Amino acid sequence: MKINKKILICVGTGGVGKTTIAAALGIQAAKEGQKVLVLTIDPSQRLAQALGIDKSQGIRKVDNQDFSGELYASVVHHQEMFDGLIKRAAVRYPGVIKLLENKLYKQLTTSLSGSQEFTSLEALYLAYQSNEYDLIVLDTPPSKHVLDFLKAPQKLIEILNKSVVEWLSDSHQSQVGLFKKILQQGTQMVLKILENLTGKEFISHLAQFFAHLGDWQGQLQERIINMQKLLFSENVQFIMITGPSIPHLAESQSLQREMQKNGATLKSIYVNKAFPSWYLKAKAQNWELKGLASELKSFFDGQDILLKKFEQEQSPEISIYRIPEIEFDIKDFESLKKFTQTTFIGSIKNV
Amino acid sequence: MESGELQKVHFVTGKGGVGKSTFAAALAYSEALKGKKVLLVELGDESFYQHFFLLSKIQFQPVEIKPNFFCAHWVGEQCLRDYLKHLIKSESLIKLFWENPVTKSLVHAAPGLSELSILGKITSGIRHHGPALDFDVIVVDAYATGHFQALLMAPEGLQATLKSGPIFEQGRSIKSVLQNPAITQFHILSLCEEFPLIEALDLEKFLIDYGAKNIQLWLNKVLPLDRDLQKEIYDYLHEKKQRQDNALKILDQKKVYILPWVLKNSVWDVLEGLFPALNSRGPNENK
Repeated sequence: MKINKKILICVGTGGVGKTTIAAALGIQAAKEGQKVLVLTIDPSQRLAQALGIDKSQGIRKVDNQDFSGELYASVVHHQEMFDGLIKRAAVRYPGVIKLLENKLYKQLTTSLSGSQEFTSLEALYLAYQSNEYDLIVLDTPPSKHVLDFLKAPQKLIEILNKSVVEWLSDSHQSQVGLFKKILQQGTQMVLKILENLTGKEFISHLAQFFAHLGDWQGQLQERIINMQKLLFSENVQFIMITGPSIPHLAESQSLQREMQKNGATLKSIYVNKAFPSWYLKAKAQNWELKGLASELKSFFDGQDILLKKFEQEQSPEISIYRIPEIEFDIKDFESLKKFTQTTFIGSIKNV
Repeated sequence: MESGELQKVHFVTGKGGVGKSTFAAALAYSEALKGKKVLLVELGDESFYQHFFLLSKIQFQPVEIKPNFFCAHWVGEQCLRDYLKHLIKSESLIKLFWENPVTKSLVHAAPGLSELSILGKITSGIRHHGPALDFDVIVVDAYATGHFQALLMAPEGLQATLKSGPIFEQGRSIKSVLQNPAITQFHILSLCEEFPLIEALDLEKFLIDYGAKNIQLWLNKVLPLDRDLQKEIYDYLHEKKQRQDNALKILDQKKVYILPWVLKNSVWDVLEGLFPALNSRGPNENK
């Protein structure tokens, strides 16, 4: 059993290189001797290839590694994760298996608010409980806001609220006691309006879905509560990945305030593609540039000022790294290792 | 809104990080400067434009950022509420409905209902169904690829499970608006990089299959690299040029519009820097 097991959760907006940096964090930890698992969500095909997880299912040890530690990786398959959870639950609660046949099952499990976040947390939870790894790095689903992720368990708990499940499954059954019926007058009205909106058929499928959840509901809810506890435990640290533009930085800042309010600890911020590799030299040696090159230099000078201001406004406990733009494609494990080196050696850290 | 002229709806999509929000804002702002009354709509749980325009909040009710240029942040739940208010009329009944503890869970749980409400709201003025929407142009900063497809498929997805009923009917009417090239235009953005490009082409195919007829592809952050490349940063510019050439090669015979990389650090300067490209929307035929 691992004693000092830790979790790093990478958050940030889409398109900033979150998954690649999650992989780099994993590689760096493996280099430093740890046994690491990187859990990715929807990695680009090349990154998946670079880690050797493009076709495999489940957790796989990455090939051709020469680290003092060990690197494992996996893609979280949303639908499979859900199916698996239900099949495991069906061992104790046989009725649950019928969920898989429900007409709305696929839609419900993919579009239910927080369901994508839920499966990544489920994957994290399973890996954490296995006690196999010193460190787990979790990439989060491409959401516009990290708060979606922090709030996901709470949202699901609300939806799976016992009264809702009971109410829906009851309203589906035709024989309801008179007393109960009177109590439900208000909720019947809700049902009526929803029926007007969506049609009888839809409500019937929905009610069936909640009816099949049945006895399992309590246990599922408990599991989600445990996930939430894990998410805010001291073993978890959040890493924010962002871009260097004004809106990106402003967004990160407000995000950080929200995270603090929610009790999540932010450990570091990685500003990806913060400057081109030539920029530091051009600045240090006072290059005299003309035309487009000069325009580019002034643009990055402006960005440098923005970043300095951003860094000064952060609390001193947070490390901020500016990662340079790389001039090669990440297409295999070697180039991913090269990117890791750039990230941890070539970047500028705030002082 | 001028009578006789149809309301125009623009959807902006593409891979995460390609510059959708900036493009949508520039498009909306440029239309407003031409004298149109414009609404820029953002979706998603949290507002991005409040940071972009440095406002304290952007919410459901449109706020005027510049003359004739409005911005609003819509989430499914509020769109549904707005629609119900229009449909039911009785304040007290609506209050009862929303204050019921079960309602919120149900609205969250009903798949596609949230997406459908958003699409319904966007197209409500055109369909004369739901509250009127008093704008000449609506620009939607839509979600990135996957989520965008889910948004557009919401009417269809529900139609697959439901063969009749109100949702079925509304879904059909919404889709016909989205397919109408005189009303709805889709903008797909990409950078000169392989993955955003592949996603852009997949998106184009998805939209064609969907029945959309007015689709424009945009290549963003393009630098003028036809002349001699400065020797100090030759490698950097050369690599950029290779990427740009490669992008045009991947797009092959397609009509593609070019957006410059605006080398400015302030938001309004960046938006204005995109105007020439937006206004001279003559397609840049691929060589």
